[in-house]
Amino acid sequence: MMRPGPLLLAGLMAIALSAAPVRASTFDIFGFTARDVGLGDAMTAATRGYGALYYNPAALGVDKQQRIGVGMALTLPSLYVDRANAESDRPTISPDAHLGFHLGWVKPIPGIFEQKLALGVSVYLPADRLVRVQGDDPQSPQFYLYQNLEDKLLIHVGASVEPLEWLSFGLGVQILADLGGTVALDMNVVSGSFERADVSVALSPTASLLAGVLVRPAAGVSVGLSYRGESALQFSLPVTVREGEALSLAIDVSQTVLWTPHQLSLGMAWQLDDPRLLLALDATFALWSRAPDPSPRLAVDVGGRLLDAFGLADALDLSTRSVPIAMGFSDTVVARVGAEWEVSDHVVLRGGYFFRPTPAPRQTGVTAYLDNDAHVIGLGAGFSFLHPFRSSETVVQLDLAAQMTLLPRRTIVRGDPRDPVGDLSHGGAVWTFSATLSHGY
Amino acid sequence: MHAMNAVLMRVLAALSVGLLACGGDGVDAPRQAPPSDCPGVDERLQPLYALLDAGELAHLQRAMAVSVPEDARRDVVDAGLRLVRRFEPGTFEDLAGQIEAADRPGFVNALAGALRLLASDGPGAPYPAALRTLRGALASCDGAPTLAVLADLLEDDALLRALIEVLADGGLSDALADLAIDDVRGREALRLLLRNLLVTASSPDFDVRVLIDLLGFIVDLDAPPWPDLVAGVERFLAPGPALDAVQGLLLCLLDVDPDANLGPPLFDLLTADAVDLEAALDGLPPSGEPVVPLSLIRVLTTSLRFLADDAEARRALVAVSLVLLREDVAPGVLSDAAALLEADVLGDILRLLAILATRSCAP
Repeated sequence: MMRPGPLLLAGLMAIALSAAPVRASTFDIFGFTARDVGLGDAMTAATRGYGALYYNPAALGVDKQQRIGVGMALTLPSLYVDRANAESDRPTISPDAHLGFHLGWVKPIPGIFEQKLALGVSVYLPADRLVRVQGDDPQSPQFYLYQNLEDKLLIHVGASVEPLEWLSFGLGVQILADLGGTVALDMNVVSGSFERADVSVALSPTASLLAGVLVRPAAGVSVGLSYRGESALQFSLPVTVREGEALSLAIDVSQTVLWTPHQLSLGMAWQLDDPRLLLALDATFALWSRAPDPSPRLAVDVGGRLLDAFGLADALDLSTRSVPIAMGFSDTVVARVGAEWEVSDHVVLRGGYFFRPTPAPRQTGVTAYLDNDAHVIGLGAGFSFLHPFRSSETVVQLDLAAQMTLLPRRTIVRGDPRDPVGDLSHGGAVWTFSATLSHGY
Repeated sequence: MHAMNAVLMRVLAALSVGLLACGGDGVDAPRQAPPSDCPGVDERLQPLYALLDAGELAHLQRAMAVSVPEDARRDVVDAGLRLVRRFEPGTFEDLAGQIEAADRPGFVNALAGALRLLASDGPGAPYPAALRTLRGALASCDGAPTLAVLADLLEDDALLRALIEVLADGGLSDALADLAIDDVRGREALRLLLRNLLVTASSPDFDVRVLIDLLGFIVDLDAPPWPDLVAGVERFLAPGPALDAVQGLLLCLLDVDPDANLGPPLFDLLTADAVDLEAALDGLPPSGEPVVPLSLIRVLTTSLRFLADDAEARRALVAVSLVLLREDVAPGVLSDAAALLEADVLGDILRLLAILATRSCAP
């Protein structure tokens, strides 16, 4: 088997280690399976099973093993915003605790493909609601990355091929659903009723690309490169209200939410035999500078025969803004490190750390989209059991993990005494607990 | 066997009947409340639509949609919305009950006649000098005190009744027609009187007697119905804010229009046959009852005080008025406004507002 030379390996290592900070979706911020969380999400080269659908689809077939699993993640934010102006009419909006579940499955295809082709699918289901479109006032202090990130149904589908023993490619899609519709109402103000009401709401699927490559240049060494395309949920609900010819009212509500930037990840994993230890390094570049205005866009167009006749329709039109908010976010690079120690044939221990620099500028302007640098520490353990009713080759694995995201205090002096938000400091911690039960066979 | 078949057939028949009875065929849908048979907005506004279709409001439309700048339109709409918030809940419900009772075709006809007289039918129409005076006054004079005094006047029922009685009497019209000062007669004589009034307003000892003495040049103030008006004016314009406001307005008018160009159109309005004030103001409520419905007075005084208090609203209204009073715009706008009154569109809109305010058509 041909293997790339040590020079390439050294180059990739150097790039991985020189990378500064990261990324968003619940997987971006907290991680996917409990193993991933425990390893500090340094998974571009170390991922296995259906977790590869998110981190690097090229690794889907590496284990040559069919695996099915279920998992849960509980997120408990403990964040604070200390405000100088306690009387502000712009209330602080804090993220809620959140529970989500996932299902995943990966299957190498035998037969003519000789398990060099693998397919996988995973679904992440928030417990409270499948999708939440939250459009808070941009002047209300809110944590941009943590506010409603988990309220997003995520579907990943992918496939990998292994053309050479040391090389795999993977391709997949992350599927989201745009929420759109129309409401058309004919009202009769005289009788105080609606004479006709047509409502149409639809979820239209949209997909963003996932791609990856995994190279195994030496025994026990893997190098991965993966790309996750930008994704967002577009929400649009135009409402038209008419009162005969006399008056018409068109209200357009639209918003771009749950936005995730383009991300490029490079990672390396090194499996030692004695002690049985896996070391993983990762760096992810995230294109946060493209972050769109997340605030709701509202436009009210008043018309009708009478108002149009006297040129008064335009005078009643309203729009929240004609120019979207410029977010001024910066691109980031997140560096991660993780380790996994096989204590015995049945127990592994994991630990990981990463530092995520904030993409958000200090909110000294009109908006109050808060974010902090984040120190993230993950700890986990895995327990393997032989399947009680099947052959010894089938294994049931229980992975548990806990993650602490520590947000150091950040202070913003807004200066203007008339500012409705006022000076503030924000920070805190977010706790995540994750469990995954999977079955490999 | 034959017996069994017969039983089976009966069972099948019974099942068929039962199954048929289970379906929705032959069952009427639950009854819903019938839709309201009140005419809708479009039906109620058909006279207005007809005027628009016939192009009879073209001048007003062009003035508002083209001549008035967009910013001014937006500002005046904003001011209107602020005014609506000023009204207390129930204001329009009370007013709605008075609309039918206060239906006065004579008043509407007189108002339409006055607008047509100023626009085209009067001897000096379209009175360009008077339009210039009005524009100058709007641009230069402080409107706040004047608006506040007007609101106070509307709340002075005795004075209002005396004023209406004088206007409805017809004596003023005859007296003006016979007015003569030296060799000057008619409208020019009234102009002289007004000019005199403006000049005397600059005197430091200006008081209400000056106004009453000038009025005495025109009519016999001792003959009914004038004594009530004189008494009311003396009371209302006793030294104080009201007198100061009137004096301030007169001084401003003297500055803007020393020739008293408002005299001729005022003379024509008060003497023209087309403006039948007697018919317009006929049938006053008996003494003891408000001469103008209180709910209407509330709407008017709230509006006037809003304008007196809100400088931004005054500026918006002045900006629009300055355009509408332009010599190339005003005649068409006044004619269109007369057409609106003659078609009783205003009545239709008021009746519609009454229905909305009282929810009388709601199921």
